[in-house]
Amino acid sequence: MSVDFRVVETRSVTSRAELRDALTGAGAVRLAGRGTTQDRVPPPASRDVVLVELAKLDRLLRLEPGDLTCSVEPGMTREALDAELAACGTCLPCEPDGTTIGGSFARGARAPLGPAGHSPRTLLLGFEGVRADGTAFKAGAKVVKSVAGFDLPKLFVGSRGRLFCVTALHLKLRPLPPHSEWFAERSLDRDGAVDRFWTLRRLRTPPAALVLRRDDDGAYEVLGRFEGRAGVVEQQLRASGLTPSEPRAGWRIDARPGGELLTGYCKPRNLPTLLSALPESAPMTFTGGCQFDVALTPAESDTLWSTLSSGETTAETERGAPERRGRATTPDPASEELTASLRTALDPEGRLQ
Amino acid sequence: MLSTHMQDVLRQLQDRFGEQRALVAPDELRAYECDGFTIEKGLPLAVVVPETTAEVQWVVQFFNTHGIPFVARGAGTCLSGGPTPNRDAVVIETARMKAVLDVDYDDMIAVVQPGLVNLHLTREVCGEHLHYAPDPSSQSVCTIGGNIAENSGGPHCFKYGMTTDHVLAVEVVLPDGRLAKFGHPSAARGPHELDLVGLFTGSEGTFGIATEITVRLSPDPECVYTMLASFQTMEAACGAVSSIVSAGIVPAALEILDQATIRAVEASVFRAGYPQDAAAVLLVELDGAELAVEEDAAEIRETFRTHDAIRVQEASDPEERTRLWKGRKGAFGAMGRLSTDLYVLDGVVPRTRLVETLQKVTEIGERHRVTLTNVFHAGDGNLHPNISFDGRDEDERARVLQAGHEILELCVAMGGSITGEHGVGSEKLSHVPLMFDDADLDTMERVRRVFNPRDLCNPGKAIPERSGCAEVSKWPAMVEHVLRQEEA
Ligand SMILES: Cc1cc2nc3c(=O)[nH]c(=O)nc-3n(C[C@H](O)[C@H](O)[C@H](O)COP(=O)(O)OP(=O)(O)OC[C@H]3O[C@@H](n4cnc5c(N)ncnc54)[C@H](O)[C@@H]3O)c2cc1C
Repeated sequence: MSVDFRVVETRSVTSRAELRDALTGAGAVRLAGRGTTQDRVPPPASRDVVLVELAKLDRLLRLEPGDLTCSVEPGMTREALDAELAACGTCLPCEPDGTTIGGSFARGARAPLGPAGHSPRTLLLGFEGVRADGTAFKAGAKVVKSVAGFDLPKLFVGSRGRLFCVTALHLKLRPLPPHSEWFAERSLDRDGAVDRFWTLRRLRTPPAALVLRRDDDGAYEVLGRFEGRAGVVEQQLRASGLTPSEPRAGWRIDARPGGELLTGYCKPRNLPTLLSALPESAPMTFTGGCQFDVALTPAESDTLWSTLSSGETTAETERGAPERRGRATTPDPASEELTASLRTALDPEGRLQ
Repeated sequence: MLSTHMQDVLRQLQDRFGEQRALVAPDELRAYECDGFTIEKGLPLAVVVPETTAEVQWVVQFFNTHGIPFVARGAGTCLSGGPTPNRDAVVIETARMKAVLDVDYDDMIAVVQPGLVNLHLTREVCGEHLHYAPDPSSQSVCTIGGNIAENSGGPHCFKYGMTTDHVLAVEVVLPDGRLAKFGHPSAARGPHELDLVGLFTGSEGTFGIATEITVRLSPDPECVYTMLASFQTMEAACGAVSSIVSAGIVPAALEILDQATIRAVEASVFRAGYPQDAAAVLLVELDGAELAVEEDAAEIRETFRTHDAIRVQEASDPEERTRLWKGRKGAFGAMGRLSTDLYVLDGVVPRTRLVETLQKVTEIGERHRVTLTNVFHAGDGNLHPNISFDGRDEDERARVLQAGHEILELCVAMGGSITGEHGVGSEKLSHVPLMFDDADLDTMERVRRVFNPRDLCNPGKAIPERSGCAEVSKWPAMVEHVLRQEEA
């Protein structure tokens, strides 16, 4: 990892041919969508890199509402895709994260907010891509179900542009829910919030989004969203003793100035332990899909890291000083070796960084 | 006749596992010579039945030392030749590794051994109103290990997804005998990790042997409601499916049986009272909050009416629901009785092209004079054209294979896939080039070599072998034909 890396050139590609040229030119390459989340991934290993931006590959290639599928170029923004999908009564059933579609999947697409939600990793049905040596290839399919060939789409999700570059993504859609209603219960204490979270999580028809959130004043809140037919949503809120609240798109926390953001997954059963390990003033969220985020000072982060050795919890420092980003729980040694071998197999010169 | 070296190897195997768990007699091996795809057979060199992960590791290391190929086998219900031994392979059967190791009811996860029968997991947890969602129609027999290898689906995967949506972690004995742990009980991949669980799932037993699997359990829905509508035409049944999906309704299952299947079912022990004059029946299962189910059911009733359904039956209590499902669940069994052999195909097309595809499938069947029936996951566009035949009749066998080839070509030409849930196995190797070109296959081969560099683990499955390109070049005419159709 080179902390003081230099972008020697930025190439904003507008076609697959340009992308191949950019990839096969000399030197190390860092792939980016619009480049807005480069501060959320570890820096490249080489000092000098060419930044290849895919933001201009931003077309909707195909939209088949009847089949609940579409194909997009990686640089299309989520906002633009959502608008197209909503116009024909469909949606991509995972939370938007403000980046390009390609960037979102390459970064790993966050866990579903609801306990019963589909993992975004299963929404990528197939793709067309280019290897670091310029070879164009594809995997998966455009239909909602296919097990032909190895599941390389899964390999792309979370690969952070280090295995190959994707030029088209085939996505699985869902009908747009006819109605959705947010709820929020504020000013809860820790035990009350955990209890409430558990109860809602274990409902037989749980909310589509469920978040336990703690602010820096130490106050807890449980918020979320039910989706479906209006009457049903209303009934679900009533049955759980909840009242509708304003939509809460901005529920997510971020690193504080000079601070860090740790993200990871832990079993709900381990939530109380995780909460006990965190300083009272550290803002945090925990979702129905078991993903947590916590904002810490570097010193607090060091203390937490010393307790995060358990194999059940997996975490990484997502934001922070470049040299501290990417600090993570240790994967299983054989998995680590396989990961390194997969990188070498697909990018033998290690140019994608 | 086995070489002295091989006889010695088998003797060592029996010394280690005893005669009960290391089978070498041809009579005993016969049961392992194929799976549900009976067209291709291969007698294994031996069968080993380990009981622990350590034993699986021992076996795999032992075969590595001797350069002997091996293949894992669950219940052998695969329909693409996945567990059929190739090249004098030894079968590693997981039947004795069938324990539920742990259930965490609060976190709704279970840790199981690979030989556990799919339905037995649901039986284990149903007392707490939980179930394991992936439900292949073979669920009373097939194993979780086999499900992972094939990324199996089932009627309810329209709403709940395939096996891959429900697997959190896998302990794997890699093809060189090392032990690896992919995933976590909270997520299939950590924020900084590659999705090795996702990659392993659906790798058809070529990336190693799963010895411990952590899966997500799902809460039983508050309410389940089943509707069965019969139609005068297949177009009307498929039209009803499209209307339901376009209305934004996501049923748990949307299944269609054609007239030939209905008649086969009604003539069998799986009789379910399906109307035999109908061209197709559509089975719709709704689940969720009671009010949501009621409102969806009302809308679907209206859809049935506009598509001129002849008759609609509805069921909310478990017994009635079981009856409506009986015909669907027994469909393969019923068709299996039409003749000595059954070839179950598994193509996928975009749902909006179902009608057109089915018409062409019928034409193909007629042209090759084969007995063809259709039962399929209509919501996913996943067709299962089934061809009943007598495998002893060479001529009929050849016609069946040709019809099968043409049907899969058709699925690809329609923009679909050669397999939705049964896998490529050895059966569809020759069709893989319809979907993937050299560069695609080269990329997949690089991945396979990372896991399985000596190609000892289930060789000759899932993707065509690259060295000789034998399978790749086997069907150039067919590939050209499809490309031409696509151009047109
Ligand atoms: C009547 C009938 C109905 C069916 N319905 C469906 C359906 O609705 N949906 C569907 O998807 N499939 C269906 N199938 C196909 C089949 O049941 C599935 O593919 C099932 O997952 C196979 O499980 P198995 O235990 O029988 O595996 P096997 O047939 O024994 O093996 C399948 C593959 O898994 C590998 N394997 C087995 N165990 C392991 C392990 N522990 N680690 C690594 N690899 C392993 C084998 O090597 C082989 O490649 C049906 C089959 C039948 C006969």
